[in-house]
Order: sequence, then C-alpha cells, then structure tokens
Amino acid sequence: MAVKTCTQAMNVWLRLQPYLLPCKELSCLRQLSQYSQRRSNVGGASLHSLPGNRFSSELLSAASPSLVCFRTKSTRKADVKISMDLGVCGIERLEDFTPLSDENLQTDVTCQINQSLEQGDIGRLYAIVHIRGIQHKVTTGDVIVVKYDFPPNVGDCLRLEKVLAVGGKDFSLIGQPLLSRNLVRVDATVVEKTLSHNRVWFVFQKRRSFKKFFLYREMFTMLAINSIQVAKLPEQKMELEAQSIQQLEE
Amino acid sequence: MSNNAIPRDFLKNVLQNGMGRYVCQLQRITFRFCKSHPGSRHMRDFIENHMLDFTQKNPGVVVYLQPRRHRPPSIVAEFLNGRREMMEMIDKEPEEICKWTEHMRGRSGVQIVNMIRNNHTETPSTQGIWHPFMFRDSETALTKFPNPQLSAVKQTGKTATDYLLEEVEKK
Repeated sequence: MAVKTCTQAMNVWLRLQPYLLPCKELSCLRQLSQYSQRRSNVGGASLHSLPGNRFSSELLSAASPSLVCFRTKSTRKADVKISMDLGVCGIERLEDFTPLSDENLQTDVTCQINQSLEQGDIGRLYAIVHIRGIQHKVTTGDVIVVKYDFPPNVGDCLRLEKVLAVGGKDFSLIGQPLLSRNLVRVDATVVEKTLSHNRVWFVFQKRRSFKKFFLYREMFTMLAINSIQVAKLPEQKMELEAQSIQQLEE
Repeated sequence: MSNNAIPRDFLKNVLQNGMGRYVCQLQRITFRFCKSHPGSRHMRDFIENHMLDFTQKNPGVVVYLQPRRHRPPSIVAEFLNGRREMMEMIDKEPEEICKWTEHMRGRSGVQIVNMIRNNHTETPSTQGIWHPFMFRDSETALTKFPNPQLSAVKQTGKTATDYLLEEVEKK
C-alpha cells in the first residue's frame, strides 16, 4: 500500500535526489566526527585516526563539504535499488521482463524447445553455475577455477547443482533464482589441484617504522565441464497449477 | 610497474584432460636422499613408511629412488608435457613430504604463474557475439529519416500528472 500511495512522489524524489543525498551524508558524517573527537583512543589507534582514512576526524573537521561527501555513482545506484526493493520511497521498478499473459504463447515456446530437444537440434548449451559464491558462465569443454581448499580429489566426477540459467542458440531458461535439479544437469571433472603463484602481502606505513612482508599461496582446483543436459519442459504445467490452486481453495 | 613484469598466463587444460577420461599428468617421481647424512632422515622415514602407500595408490606413476651422497633431500617430478619440477625437502617432516608428493600428483605439468582469468573457454559465445544490428529491424535501412513513427515519444507509464488528471475526472 505504501508503494502505491507514494508513486506520485516518484518524479519529484528523483529530481531532488542529487541535492538530498549529499546533505544527508554530510549530517551523519559530522555526527561521526563529533563522536570520535569525544571518545579517546582505547587500546591504540582507532579507525578514525589511522592515516589515509578518508573519513578520519582530522580530515572531516578540516575538509570542505564537497570533499567529505564522496560517493561513487555505483554506490548511489545501489542505494536507489535498495530503496526500491524495500519500497521506502515507493518507486515502482521498471519491468525487465513482460510476463507471458498469453498461455498459448507460453505452451508454444515450451513445445518448440521440446521439439528441438527430441530432434537433437539443441546444439551447444551454456549454463550459469554458482560455486562457492562465484558464478561462472559455462559451456562443455571449458575450465573453471575454484579457489581455496576444495574437498573433491583429482579425477572425481561432480555434478554442479546450483544452476541459475541455461540456454542454447535460440532459447534461455532463467531460474528464480535457481532452476530445478530435474531440469538441468551440469557434469564436471576435477582436473587439477595446484597452488597459486607466490602472492605478496605487503603493508607499509610511512614514518612509523611499520612494515610487514608475507608471501602466500592459495589452493586452486580446476574443474573441466563435461556436459550440460536439459530435460523436457512440462507443457501442461499451467493446467496442473490451476488444478492444484482450485483444490486448495476447495 | 608494467604489465609484463610479473609472468602471467591463461589457464590451460592439458589435451582436454577431463573430457573423456581423467589421466594423471605425473609421469615419474624421483626421491633423492643421502643414506647417511642426518638432513635426509625425514626422507628416509618417508621412504620406509609412506612411499609404498603412494606407489600402490598410483600404479601409473613411476617412482625412482636416487641416493646421492652428501646432498640434501629433494623430489623431482616429471610430467607428461615434458616439464620438470624440483622441490627441496630439507627440514620437512614425512607428513609434509607426503603432502608435497600428493600435490605433484594432482598437478598438470603447466607452470604455475599468475592466472589472467579464472576460467577458460574455446567457445565463449553460444548465441552469437552481439553487434549493433542484431536486434534491430532491418526496415530501418530502407526508411527515410526523419520518420514521425520512429521519432514518436514512447509511453513509459502513468505519470504523476496523469494520476492527478484521473482524480480530477473522477470528481
């Protein structure tokens, strides 16, 4: 309800945005700086007193407002998106996908995909696969790296279960957020387990005789994608759903 | 600091290894040690206690023992692509030597360098690489501009003024 009533304010809010946001940040940053001045540094250097910290109290007090409120375009965009998701300022999201209201069209699309599956015309498939927080766009025959300790041994065959999307030359199936296990199957083999090259971790602070030098190597696992398989789509899904909804209502 | 200072390379899957059948890329391992020097005692422990487990688990890997007098202990691994990797095993416990031999077994012979990208494909595009005319109507090639239909303002949605006008009309 809040979303719908606020829509008339949408345009107004957007126009005022560049002026409103900096003021809001300015006020809260000033509050932060006051707090840090009052509070003594407990147990050594606090966050605000470390050199190079953009938001340190010295900089805040000295610098002009334009310097202090440094926000990138990406952060602003992210905030707008978050507010849209929360429905705070009541902005209706632009629709990326038009839902298929025409049921006949939907069945046509699924029939076409199933036909090409039967005939074997589907061709090369790609899949977007989620492993350990990282997504990869993957086809048969390509190699992926999984960072850090990965339990499977060299030569093991895996099935990558979290598939976000699958597609071929003429179609794409996009999950919300994942596709079901009965629909897609992505097989991979562990091909190699190595270490990374020697990476340097070097910390230096000038005029403080503070430096650390540390070499480290991360563990990598290479997966080779063996195959991507798509099952036949259910053509009568809408009817089944409608039936189940009727049953629930009864 | 230039691009070429730190050696880097794309990922390689040696001869499409996992696609048909996985083949262990380690061809042979040589354990080099001294029979008498105390520096090689961990290596000698490893050879007595752990080495045979490794050979039994990996019958496809050839294992050599090379006693070298007055020299420190080391492992030399040779891979199917012809590359050779040597690692010194001084002051390394037998468990650590086990881990390093296991590491050599898991590797392909490719040299360890900074990887440019964490994936590699031979076929990056399944639906065709986008070009500006991909989803455009080819009729625009024949139209004369300015075209009133193409220049018309697109309807985006209900604006605040529309909403207000509706409210007024209701009353």
